[in-house]
Amino acid sequence: MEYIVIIIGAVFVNNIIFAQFLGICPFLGVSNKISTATGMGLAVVFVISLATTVTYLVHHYILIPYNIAFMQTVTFILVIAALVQLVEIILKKVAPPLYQALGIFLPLITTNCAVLGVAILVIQKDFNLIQSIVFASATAVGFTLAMILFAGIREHLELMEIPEGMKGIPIALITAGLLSLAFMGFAGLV
Amino acid sequence: MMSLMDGIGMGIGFTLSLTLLGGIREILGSGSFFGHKFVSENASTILLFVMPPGAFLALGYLVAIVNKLKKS
Repeated sequence: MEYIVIIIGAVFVNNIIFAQFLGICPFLGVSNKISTATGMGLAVVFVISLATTVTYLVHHYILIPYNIAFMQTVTFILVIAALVQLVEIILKKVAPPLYQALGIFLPLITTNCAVLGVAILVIQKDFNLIQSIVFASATAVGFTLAMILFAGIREHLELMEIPEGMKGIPIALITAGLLSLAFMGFAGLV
Repeated sequence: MMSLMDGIGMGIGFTLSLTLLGGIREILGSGSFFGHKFVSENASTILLFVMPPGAFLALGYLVAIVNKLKKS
């Protein structure tokens, strides 16, 4: 039951993009096509889940015992960067078209505020290991959900008649605003 | 030297746009400007603008205005 509350809370109520504003740059940058958005979402799910697990362990078994908790930011970024490098190598071999489509946004996952944000949130909320992993994966799923929803709408927007100045980013931002408004309807659910 | 200038320019541009967006959201959302309230205490303001959706909407319209200005 406790895990269901965490999952619903992370995916819908406190959706990382629509309610917390973390990880906006890939959200706007690679949401032109559903396929790339899905690929980005899956890469982020992988990185967030693994990174949070590793940073949780590092925090509780290395930083706390040796009294170097002030090194948190540096260590966490190092762990995340190593994981992103891994994802990059794997994607380049396994799915070259996706690697091409993601472009600069793939290495940018390193400094994606969503990834570091979740790693730090988990420590702040004092979750245990299982709770942390559940929370991290659910947040990442929320990110992917937002990406796919948004990409689906943007694909349709391409074919619409839009005033000249609104084309591209402005209409995308306003769409995101309306989506975020819709997600506010989930507030109070948990 | 050029990259230093570029960096400073980027930073100033970022600060300006952030201040502009923050100003718009504060005026519409809570009826104040840099903390000075200019509407009466129980006046109803557009609360939407202090919440996340308001940021997306305001930024969207700002970018649209900038695009329009750039073209003409």
